[in-house]
Amino acid sequence: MIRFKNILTIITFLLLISCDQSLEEDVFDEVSSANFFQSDQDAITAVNSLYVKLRGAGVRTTSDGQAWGLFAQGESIFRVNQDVTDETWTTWAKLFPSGSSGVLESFNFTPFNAGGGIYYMYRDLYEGVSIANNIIANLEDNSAVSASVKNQVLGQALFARGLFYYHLNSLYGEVPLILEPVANPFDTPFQASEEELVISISSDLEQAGQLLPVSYPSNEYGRFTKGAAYALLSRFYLNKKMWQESADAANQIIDDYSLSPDYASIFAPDNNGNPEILFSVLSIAQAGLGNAYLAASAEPDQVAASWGGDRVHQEFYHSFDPADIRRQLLVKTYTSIFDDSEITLDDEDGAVILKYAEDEDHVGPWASNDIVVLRYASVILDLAEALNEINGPNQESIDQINRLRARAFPGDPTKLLNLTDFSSKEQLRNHILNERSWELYYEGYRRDDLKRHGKFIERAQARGRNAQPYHRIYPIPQTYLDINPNQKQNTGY
Amino acid sequence: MRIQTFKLVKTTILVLGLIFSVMSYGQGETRRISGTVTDSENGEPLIGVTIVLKSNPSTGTVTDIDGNYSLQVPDNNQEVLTYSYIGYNTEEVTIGSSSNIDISLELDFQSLDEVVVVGYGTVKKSDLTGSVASVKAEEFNPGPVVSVSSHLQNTAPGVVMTQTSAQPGGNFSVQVRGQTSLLGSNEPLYVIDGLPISNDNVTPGSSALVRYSPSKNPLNGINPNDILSIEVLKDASAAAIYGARGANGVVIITTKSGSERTQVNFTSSLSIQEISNQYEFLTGSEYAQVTNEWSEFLGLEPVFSPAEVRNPAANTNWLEEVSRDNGTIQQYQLSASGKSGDLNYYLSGNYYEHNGLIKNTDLSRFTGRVNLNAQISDMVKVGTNLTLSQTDNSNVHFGDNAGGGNFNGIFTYRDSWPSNVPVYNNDGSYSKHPVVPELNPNPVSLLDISDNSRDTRILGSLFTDFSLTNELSAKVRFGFDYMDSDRGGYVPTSVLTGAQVGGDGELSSNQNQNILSELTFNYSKQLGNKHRISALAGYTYQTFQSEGYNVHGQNFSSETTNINDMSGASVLLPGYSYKQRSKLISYISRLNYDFDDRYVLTATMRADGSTKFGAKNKWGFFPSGALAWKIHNEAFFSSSFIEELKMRLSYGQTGNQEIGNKLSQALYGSTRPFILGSGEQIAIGLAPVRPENDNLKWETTTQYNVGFDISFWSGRIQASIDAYRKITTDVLLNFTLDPTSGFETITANAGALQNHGAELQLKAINTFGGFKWTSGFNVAYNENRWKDRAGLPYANYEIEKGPVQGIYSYVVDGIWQSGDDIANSAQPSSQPGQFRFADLDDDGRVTGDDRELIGQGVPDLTYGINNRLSWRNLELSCFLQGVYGVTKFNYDRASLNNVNDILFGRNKSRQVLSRWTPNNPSNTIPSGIVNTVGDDFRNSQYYENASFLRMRNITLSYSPSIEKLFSSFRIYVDVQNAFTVTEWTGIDPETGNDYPNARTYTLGFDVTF
Repeated sequence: MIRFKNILTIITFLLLISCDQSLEEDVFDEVSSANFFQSDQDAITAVNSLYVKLRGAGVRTTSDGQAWGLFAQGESIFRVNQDVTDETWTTWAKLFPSGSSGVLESFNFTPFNAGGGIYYMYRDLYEGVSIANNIIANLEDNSAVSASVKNQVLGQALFARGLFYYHLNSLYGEVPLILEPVANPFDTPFQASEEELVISISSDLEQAGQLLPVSYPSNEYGRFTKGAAYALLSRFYLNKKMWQESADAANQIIDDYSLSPDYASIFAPDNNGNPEILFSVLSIAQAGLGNAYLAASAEPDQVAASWGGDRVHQEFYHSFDPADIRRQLLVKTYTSIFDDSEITLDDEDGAVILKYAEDEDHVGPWASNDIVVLRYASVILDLAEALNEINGPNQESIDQINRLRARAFPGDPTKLLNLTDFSSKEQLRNHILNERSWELYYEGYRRDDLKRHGKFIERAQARGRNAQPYHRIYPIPQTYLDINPNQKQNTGY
Repeated sequence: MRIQTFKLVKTTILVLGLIFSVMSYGQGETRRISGTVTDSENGEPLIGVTIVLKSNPSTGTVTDIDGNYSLQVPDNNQEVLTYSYIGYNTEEVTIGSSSNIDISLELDFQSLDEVVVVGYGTVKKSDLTGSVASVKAEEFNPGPVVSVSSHLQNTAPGVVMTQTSAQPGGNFSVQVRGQTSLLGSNEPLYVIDGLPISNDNVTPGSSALVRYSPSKNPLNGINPNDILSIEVLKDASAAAIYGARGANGVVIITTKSGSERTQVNFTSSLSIQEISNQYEFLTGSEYAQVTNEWSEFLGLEPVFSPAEVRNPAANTNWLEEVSRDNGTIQQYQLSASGKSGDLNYYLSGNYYEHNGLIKNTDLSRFTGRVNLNAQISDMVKVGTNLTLSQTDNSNVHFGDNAGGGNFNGIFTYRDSWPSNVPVYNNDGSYSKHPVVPELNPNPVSLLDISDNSRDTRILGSLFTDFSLTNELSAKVRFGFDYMDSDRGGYVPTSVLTGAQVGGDGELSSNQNQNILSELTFNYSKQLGNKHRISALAGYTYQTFQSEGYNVHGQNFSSETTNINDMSGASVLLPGYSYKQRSKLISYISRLNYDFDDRYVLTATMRADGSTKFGAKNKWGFFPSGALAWKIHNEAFFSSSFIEELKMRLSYGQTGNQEIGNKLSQALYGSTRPFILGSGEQIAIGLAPVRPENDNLKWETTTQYNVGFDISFWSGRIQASIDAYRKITTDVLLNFTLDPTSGFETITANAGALQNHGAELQLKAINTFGGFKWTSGFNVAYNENRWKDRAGLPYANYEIEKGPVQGIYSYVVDGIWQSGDDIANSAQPSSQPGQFRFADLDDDGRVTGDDRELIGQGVPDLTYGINNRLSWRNLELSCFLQGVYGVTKFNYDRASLNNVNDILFGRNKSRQVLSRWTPNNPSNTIPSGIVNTVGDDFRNSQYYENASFLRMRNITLSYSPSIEKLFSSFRIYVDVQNAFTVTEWTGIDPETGNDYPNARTYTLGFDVTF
C-alpha cells in the first residue's frame, strides 16, 4: 500500500514536471517576428517578397482571387492603363460585355462592378505598401544588419513603396497614405491630400535613386536599379506637370544607360540583360513564372497554347508610318499553325500584338521573355517632353526623340525630325504624345499620357464611349468603402 | 425442402447429443438430468439454450429443436446448472435430487443496469443525467463496413452522418446536433479507449490537379469488428468533461476486452457490388443529331455529316469503360478472447479488401489488436489497448472540381466526352477530344495514372489502476496515436497532361503524432442509506504534432522507374514541407451526488489551456451541471406498467478549438517563387502571413437539454425524448480588412449561431408465438440558424437570422413560349425557350435581388427504423435510414440538360431530346440559349429536394445449433442499399455525384469455438 502510494506520488510529480507547462505556441515552419530581421540574409529575404508582389497577387498563395498580379498578364497594371485608351483593347470585351475587359472598354466601371483589375489593383498595391513599410520600419535602428545591405534593401523597399503609391495615386487619386506598419488591422484610415502623396512618392523615389546602384552583379540582376527609380520619378513629375523636376530626374540617369540597337530584341525571349531595360519582371518558361503576354494576344491558331484577345485599335495601327519597324510587331495576317491557311483578321478588330516574340521553348502559355516594366526609351521621351514644356521646341528634345526614330527607321534619315518642323510647343507636344504610343504601346503608359495631355476623356468619347470627366480616376471598390467609413468615394461615382 | 432441413437439423442435434454423452461417460459417479427449456412468455420451446455445469463449464449441452436436453452430471445434489440463451436472462438451478428439470427463461429486455461509457469513467444507464446515445456491438449490422462511421449512420438520433464519397473507404461528414462553426471543424471529438484522437486526415493531398481524389475516412484504420460499444455524448453535461473539444459532441469508442470464457471467433464475408444508379446519355447517333440541330438553331453549318449521324464512329459509354463489372469486398477476422489467471486478453487480426466499382479504386487493410489487462496485486491493475493497422489505397483522378463540376477527371465522361468518340484510335492510342484536344484528357487514359497511398496507424494506451483505499482509486494513462501516410502518384505520358510535361510524379509523406499523459483520481462513498457521492479529478497533457513533405518532378528519364527514381526527373518543381505542434493542458473534475436513488446531480468543470489561441485567451473554463429525477422511485408514484420514468435537465458550456495552428501569431512565411539574376534562378522571400491576433479564442457553445426516459411493461417498450437549445457564441468569422492593413482578412471571434431541436428514440420488443420482434425507431429534428452575423455583409435577399446553410436562388416559373409577351415582361431581353424567372420583389425587372430562400443544405429531420424479427434460429433484420428537408444543387442535371455548350464537344443527357425547340414547346428543359438575366444553372429547377429514404440493410441470418462443433455459428446474407426512395434526379442524394453508389450483396458467416 505504502509502496504504491509512493509510486503514484512519483508518477504525479514526474507528470507535472516532465511536461512543458508553457502555452506559448511552438512554431517550426514559419519565422516569428521576434526572430526576424536579425541578419543581412533576413533583410535580403524580406525584400525579396516585394518582387513576388510584382508578379503575383498574393505573395504567399495563388488562391486569393487571381494568380497573376500587378505586372504579369491578367488583370494587370498594364491592362487598367491600356484598355480604357485608344491604344489597345481586347476582343473578350465583345464576348463578355459585363466582364472586366468589357467594363473597361465601355467605361462602365462602378464601385460595385470593380471586380477584376480595378478591385485587385487596389488590394494588391496596398499589400505591397504594407510589405515595404514593414521592411523600412524594421531596418530603422537595426544594428544586426550591416550598413551596406541596409542601404540596398532600404533603397529597394523605398522604390517599391514609391511604385505602389505611384499607381494608387494614378488609378484612384487621393488614397490613404500609410508609411508605417499598421498596428491595428481594423484601422480605417483617412485619405491623404494630393500634396501629401506627391511629397511622399517623390521623396521615396528620390531616396531610392540615391541608394540604389546603376546595375547589379549578374546573380542579383533583376533587382530595382537607380535607373528604375529615376525613370519612375521623371515620369511621375511629368504627370504632375513638374517639368523641371522631371527633366532633372531624367538627367540623373540619361548618361548611365543606353538604347538597345534593335527594337524587337528588348522583348525577345533572351531579353534578360538587355541594356535598355531599367526594370523587368524576370520570367522563365514555367507555369506561374513565365510571361503570358503573347498568349494573351496571339490567336489560338497563330501560336500554340495561346488564347488571344489583346489587340491594338485599328486607328492606332493605321497611325503608324508603314515603314516604322515598330509596327512590324503588330500583325493583321498570319499563317494558321493548324492547316497552313492564310488568315486575315477583321480590320475593325485591329491587329494582334506580337511584341513579346514567340519563345520556342514555351510551356503552355508561359514564355521566358522578361516582362519589361521600365526602360530607357521612356526616360528619353520624358526628357524631350519636359524640355519642350519648359522651353518650347528645342534641339535637345528633337535629338532625344531622333535617337528612337533612328532605330525605328533604320537607314532612313528622312524620317528623323527637324526642329524646323515644329513651330509651336503644342505641335511638338502632340508629336511626342504620338511618338510615345508608337514606342511604348502595350507597356501600360497610355492612360497617364492621355490624362496629362488632357485627351483621355475626349478620345474615349470620340470612340463612342460613355466617358465622363470623373472617369479620369477609377472608383474605390465598394467592398472597401463598406469597411472604411473614413474613405470617401471619388467624385462622380 | 423446409421439413427436410429441419429433419436434418434435428438429426444433427441428436447425433451431437449422443457424441457428447459418450464423451462425458466415465467421469466417476454420475447421473442423468433431462428436461425442457421454454419461453416464460408463451411456453414455446427454446432451441439451442446452453446448459453447463457451473463447477465445470466443460460439461454442458444444448437444447434440441423441441427444447429438450439431457446431461450427465456428477451425482451431487449441490451441483448447479446454468441455463443461458442470447436475449434471455441467465438462470441457475441447483439440481437437488431431481432428474428432470424443466425451466422457462425470461426475456432479457435491455436492463437498466446496463453500463454506459462516459468521459473518464462509466455510469449505470439508470443514473445518467446527460444525453448519451449508446450503440452496442450486437446492434451492428453484420455486413461489411470499413469504418465505424457506417455503424453510426442514423442509429443514434441527433448524429447526422453523411457519406461524402462512395469510393472505397470514402469519407463521412458527421454532425451532432447541428452546425456550430463556420471556419472551424464541425466534427465531433473521437475518444478511443480513453484516448482523444485527432481525426485530421493524414493522407497527403495532391498538389497536382491531375490526381485529385476526395479524402478517405481517417477512421478506416480502426477495425470496426473490434468495437464493443459506441457512445455519443450529445448534451453539454455529458460533453463538457471534454471542454474545449466538446462543442460538436463526443464519440466514445470502446473496444472489446477479454471474456470470462475462452473464445475463438472467426468471421468472414464476401460481397459483390453493382452500380445502383446511372445516367442515360445520348447515344453516338443522337449526340451527332443534337449537335447538328443546335448548330442549325444558331445558324451555323452542321458539324456532322448525315453519314456520321447515321453511323457514328462509336457509341461509347464512358462510365462502362472505366468501371469494373462488379466491385468486390472480402473480409476475414480471427479473434481470441479469454482469461488466464489474472490476465484478461483480447487479440484479433483482420483483413479487409475492397475493389471498387471503378477500376483502380481499391482499398486493402490489415489490422491487429492486443487488449490486455492484469490484476497484478490487490491494489494494482495494469493494461494496454493497442492496435496496428495498415491501409493501402489506390485512387483515381476525380477531376479538379472547378466550379462545382469535375473537369479533366475520370468522371468527365459526364460532361466533357461525347459518346460518338471512340476510346482508342485505330493505332491503339487514346483518342483525343474532338473540340479541345489540348485540354481534355481521355477519361480512359486516366486509368494509366498510378496513385497509391499507404496509411499506417499505431494507436494505443497503457494504463495502471491503483486502488488506494476502498473509496479512492487513481489511474495513470499514457496514450499515443501515430499515423503515417505516404502517397506516390505518377501521370505517364500516355495521359495528355503527363505528355505535356514528360510525365509528372509526386511523392508525399505525412506523419501525425498525438501523445497523452493523464492522471485521474476517483472517489466514491456511500453516506448512510441515502447519500452516494462519487468524484473525479484529473490532469491531462496532450500534444499533437504533424509534419510532412513532398517532392514533385517532371520529365522523367524513364517511365518505368518514374517516381521510384526521383533523380530521373529533369524538372524538380518546388516541393513543400511543414511541421506543426499544438498542446492542450487540462484539469478536469466531476462530482456526482445521488440522493435516495431519486435525485442524481452531476457537476463538471474542465479548464483547458491551448497553444492555439491568442496570448490573452490561453485558458478556457467549461462548466456544466445536470439533474436527473427518477420519478418512478418516488413514493407517490405507482404504476403497474411503467418501470422507469426519469426526467433529465442539463446546462453547460463546451468549446471548439479545432481551428488550425499558428493563427494568433505574427509570423513570416515563405513566399511564392520569383526569378532573379542573369542565370534566371528561382528565388524566394519571406513575408508576413497574417495579422497578429492576441484575442483569438475557442468558440463557446452553451447548451440546455431537457429529456425523459420512460420504460413500460418490464422494459418491452423504452423511449427517450430530448429537447435542446444550443447557442454558439464567439463564432470565428473572417472579416475583410481595409487593404492598408496589408492583409485581406482577419479571423475574429464575433458571430453567434444557434441550433435547437428534439430527438426521440423508441424501442419495442414483442414476442408472439415463436417470434421475437425487436423494433427501433429514432428521429431527430434540428434547426440551425444565424443568431448574430456580427456585421458581416449579406445580400438583400438573405435572411439575417436565416439558416446557416440556407440556399437562396432564383425561382424558375416555367419557360418562355413563342406567343408570350416577353418585351413587356420582367425580363425583356429573354427569348422563347429560356427560363422564365419569378420577379419576386415585383419591381418589374428580374435582377440579382430576385432570389429567395428555397431550402437548406442540411436536413430538418433524420430518422432510422430498425426491425429485427427472429424465429427459432432464423433472423431477418432490416434497417431503413432517411433524411428529410434537405436541398442540394444538382450540377449534373444543370449541365447535362443544357445543350448550350454542346459545340465544345460536351456530352448531354438523353433528356435534351425533349428540350425546348420552336416545334417542341417544352416547359421544363430550356432551349440552351443563355439568359442574360437570372441564372440558367443555379436556380430552383436544379436545386433539388435531396430527401431520401433508403433501405440501408436487409439481412437474413441463420444460426443452427451445432454447438458441439462450435459454441456458436451464424451464416447470413445481406443487401446494402437495396433501394432508395427519393425525388432527387441525380445519381445519389447522399454521396453527391462523382463516384457511383453501390448496391452490395454479401454472404458471410461467423463462428465461435
